[in-house]
Amino acid sequence: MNAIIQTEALTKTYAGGRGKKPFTALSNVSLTVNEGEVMGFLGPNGAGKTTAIRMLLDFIRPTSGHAQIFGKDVREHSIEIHKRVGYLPGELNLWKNETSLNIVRYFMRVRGGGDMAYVRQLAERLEFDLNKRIREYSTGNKRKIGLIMALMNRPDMLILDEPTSGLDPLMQQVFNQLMHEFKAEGKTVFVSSHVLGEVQEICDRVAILRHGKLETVETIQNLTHVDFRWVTLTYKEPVTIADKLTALAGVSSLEVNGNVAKFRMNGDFNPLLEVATNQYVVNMHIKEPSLEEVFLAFYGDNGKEKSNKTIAQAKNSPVMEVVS
Amino acid sequence: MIGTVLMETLRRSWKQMVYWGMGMAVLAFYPFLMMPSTPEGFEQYAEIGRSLPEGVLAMFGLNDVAIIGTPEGFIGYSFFGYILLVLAVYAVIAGLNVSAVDEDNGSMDMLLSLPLPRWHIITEKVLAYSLMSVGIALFAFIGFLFGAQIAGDKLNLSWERYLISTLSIVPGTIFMLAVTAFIGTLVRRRSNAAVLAGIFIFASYVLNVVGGMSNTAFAETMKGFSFFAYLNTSTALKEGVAIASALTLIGVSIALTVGAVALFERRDVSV
Repeated sequence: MNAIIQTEALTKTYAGGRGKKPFTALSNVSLTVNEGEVMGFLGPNGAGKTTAIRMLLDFIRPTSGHAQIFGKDVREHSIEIHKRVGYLPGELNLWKNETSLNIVRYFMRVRGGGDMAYVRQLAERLEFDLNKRIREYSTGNKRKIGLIMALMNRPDMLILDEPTSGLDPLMQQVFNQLMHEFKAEGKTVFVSSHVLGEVQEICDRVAILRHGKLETVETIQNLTHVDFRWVTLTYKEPVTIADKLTALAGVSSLEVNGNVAKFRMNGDFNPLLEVATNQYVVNMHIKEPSLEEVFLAFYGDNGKEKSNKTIAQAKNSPVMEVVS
Repeated sequence: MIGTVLMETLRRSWKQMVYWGMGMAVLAFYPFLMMPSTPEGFEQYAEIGRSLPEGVLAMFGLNDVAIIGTPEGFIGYSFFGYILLVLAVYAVIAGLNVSAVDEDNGSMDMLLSLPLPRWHIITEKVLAYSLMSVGIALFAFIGFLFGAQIAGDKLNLSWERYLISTLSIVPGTIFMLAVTAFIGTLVRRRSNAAVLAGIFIFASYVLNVVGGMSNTAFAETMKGFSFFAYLNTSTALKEGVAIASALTLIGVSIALTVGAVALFERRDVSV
């Protein structure tokens, strides 16, 4: 499989000044994104995702390490790389008095041509009016024009920084479809997000970044098959067996509210069923953990360091608390 | 593609050029309305000039009072005496637009994500705004032509003389544009760049005035550091462009643009 993005010990340190200490935004990040892959780049705000993306696009230069896209150094061959890359920044700022159409035409001219019919097709799918001035658009609409501009030259790779923030659920579905279509063409997507649910649908793998360090790279399947479930038991009468439930191995985060007991369950269900049926059960609901919960389980509570734990450890730890 | 940024900058800014140009045309035309109708009237202006202290005259760029005693000197001084100060404002605004504005508001990221070398952005924008400063000067030329119709026989100047004279304001404008563009790439933030460019203009103006007031060699040398000193304010209509001065300003402007490119190529783009 061809590596489309390859970074090696990519580091960015900002010099201090005016009493500020030097700040390392990204530290020794080595990452490979393969051809035809949708790679999620996840981490909380300030983790260094945007810094990494800006280095990939040669907006900022690494303090040490290097990066390649399409096998070419991002510094030396930035122009060739940019011809084949579509980019959506985390915060899209365009010229407020210009219409989207004017900006699209400008970008097409810079790229040496483009397919306006395809642009209109994208605009139609995203229900976007190209004729308004940028200052007239809502946040969601600004994301839409950003997506159109990222896709309009039919690039070989997309670099998207928080692409769905501000999009309504329907448009998020359209975005997901667009990404599936893009991937179906064998193209590559590198998408950053701090909302894990957004990338769960489209990503093959995710890289998790924290405090500028790459914590792990995992497939979505591995991340989502974490060995715990959220269990909600609804009883006919108010819950009286809370103590017994708490005493069970694998049960944590128990909340009792009248007839309803909700808790997190690790391990086998048989011991639970033996205890739970001491009262008349009306309903039992079992829910898979969301990627957010997996993410938080991986990171640990209150943002404290659990970085030396592997995903496998995170999966099996019965004491790990989910903070939501 | 080469020239795309240039054309886009012209497309976006031509209206501002027209507005500034119309203002220049009015300023060029206005002195003709104020021009005395008799030789005695001119002499009265010269007398007023002679009664003023040397420092005040230097502040207004009037080193030779006798010059306003002639129609050419009067019109020339009434326009060229302060016009570079006005155009410096345009030059600062344009210079900020070269990189600082886009960098400050974040749109530079989108531009640089395109297959567009950084040096294209700087050079093509400087070129576009330089062309527009020529356009603004041409509006002033039109103002002069209209004024000449009013003046009739009192001024015996050809249209070529008016044209060359008005073009003499271009090198100073381009110089200030290049200075601001350079500062913009250096400090990145629009507000900081604007303040520094303003300080530069003020310092240049002071050097020009002080240099004009004092007859010492030192003062004369210091005056050479002011771009205001490179425009013949009172003799522009009579003598046209001082070629050496114009070439000096253009040369320094090119050097500053090259410096701005070098700075912008090497550094990080701010968020």
